[in-house]
Amino acid sequence: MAFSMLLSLKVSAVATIFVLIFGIPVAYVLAMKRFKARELIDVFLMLPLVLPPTVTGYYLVILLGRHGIIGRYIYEWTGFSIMFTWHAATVASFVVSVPLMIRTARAAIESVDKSLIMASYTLGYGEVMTALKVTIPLARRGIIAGAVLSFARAIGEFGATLMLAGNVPGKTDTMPLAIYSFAAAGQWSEANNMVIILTVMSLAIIYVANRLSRQ
Amino acid sequence: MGLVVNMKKTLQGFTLDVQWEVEKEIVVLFGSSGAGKSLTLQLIAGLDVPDKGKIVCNGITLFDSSTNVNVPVQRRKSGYVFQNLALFPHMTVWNNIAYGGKGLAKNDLHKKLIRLIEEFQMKGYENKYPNELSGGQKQRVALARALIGEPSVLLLDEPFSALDNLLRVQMRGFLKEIHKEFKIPVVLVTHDLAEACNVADKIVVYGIGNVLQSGKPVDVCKYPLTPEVAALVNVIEEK
Repeated sequence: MAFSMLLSLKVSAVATIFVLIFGIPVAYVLAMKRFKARELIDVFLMLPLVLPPTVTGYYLVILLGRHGIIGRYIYEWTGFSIMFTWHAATVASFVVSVPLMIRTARAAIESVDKSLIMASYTLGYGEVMTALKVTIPLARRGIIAGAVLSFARAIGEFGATLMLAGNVPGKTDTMPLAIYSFAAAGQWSEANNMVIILTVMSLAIIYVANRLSRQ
Repeated sequence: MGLVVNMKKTLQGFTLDVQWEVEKEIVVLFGSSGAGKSLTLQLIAGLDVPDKGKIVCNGITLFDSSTNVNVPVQRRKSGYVFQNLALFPHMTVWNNIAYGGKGLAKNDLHKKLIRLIEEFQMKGYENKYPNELSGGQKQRVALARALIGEPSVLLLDEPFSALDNLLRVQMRGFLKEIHKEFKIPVVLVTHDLAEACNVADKIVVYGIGNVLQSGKPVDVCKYPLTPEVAALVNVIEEK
């Protein structure tokens, strides 16, 4: 029980860090640049929001599994396969939650007053410095809200995790997976407790996200 | 030495085609809205690129389509004050002004900041954020931020339009003092005739995308060359 809670927190926290690292630059480029492939990338990045997580997980297995398109080489070179590890749970959580970050952060970046960005340019700052000192700090509320939503989505991740990381007790059974196992085994009181904890955690996260986006 | 502008730019069916030049004096671009005055400022600053032409500031070519010169906006050293002032809402007065001092040594920046804040009557407000300032204070911070990096030209896009009359008169006087101190060409966009006549050494009257007439404010007001100019300046004649 405690293991599943800690695992869920660890997986979601690490996934959220990568969501921030990957999501902010992508959101920035989608918000600020006009290029041909933009709509295509946008559609592609939204896919995990629409697909059933099991389908997303299936693609991840094809990509990262021991015989997968990329996973094969990783296994050949390092003897390591991500399948059935907590890393896999993190990757699955990252993929399903990063669209939330990109969506929210992109909207926030797009709403930054363009004259502030132009002012920064006339004062001698290049695009990267302007992004770091003006655009992203001014979009921070949306970025934080996006990160909180991503974290919440990662906490609740089930399908893709099950496909890529499996449901290995004491190894990859995050809270949602543990709840499934308890219920399947008829251990209702354990399932009950964990459901309550997960619900309270989710409520707290939504509350925090709402407060942050209103401030 | 001063500012020489000769440029052509077509944008969504609108064509700007203007030539004018000024010494290190205050020039007012005057005309109705949609005449291309703000676009002119953006082209001088390098925020947009003319289709054709040449921009020379204090002997330095900033843009020349015939030799493919186009100095990027960051290196044009233009002090730009936007219509909405564009103060950074997440920075204090101190940090807003300091932002304009890019490339200055820390010591120099500090000394200059203290002097400018004193001169621009912002002492005691260093740690305030833009939303805690009055309209006039915001103007002064925007001007200080534009000037701290010692620009080679000051571009003002209707910066006083949101002020009440008394403050506007004060800011005009303040602008003249600044001009005496910094001795750079100042380009002020306005459609307020009183403002134009009051501060301008030279006035350039814009039609829709072209220059109708330019000269000393007195001359332009007394001897408008075309009926359009006469219509634009007739307020003064009635007085």
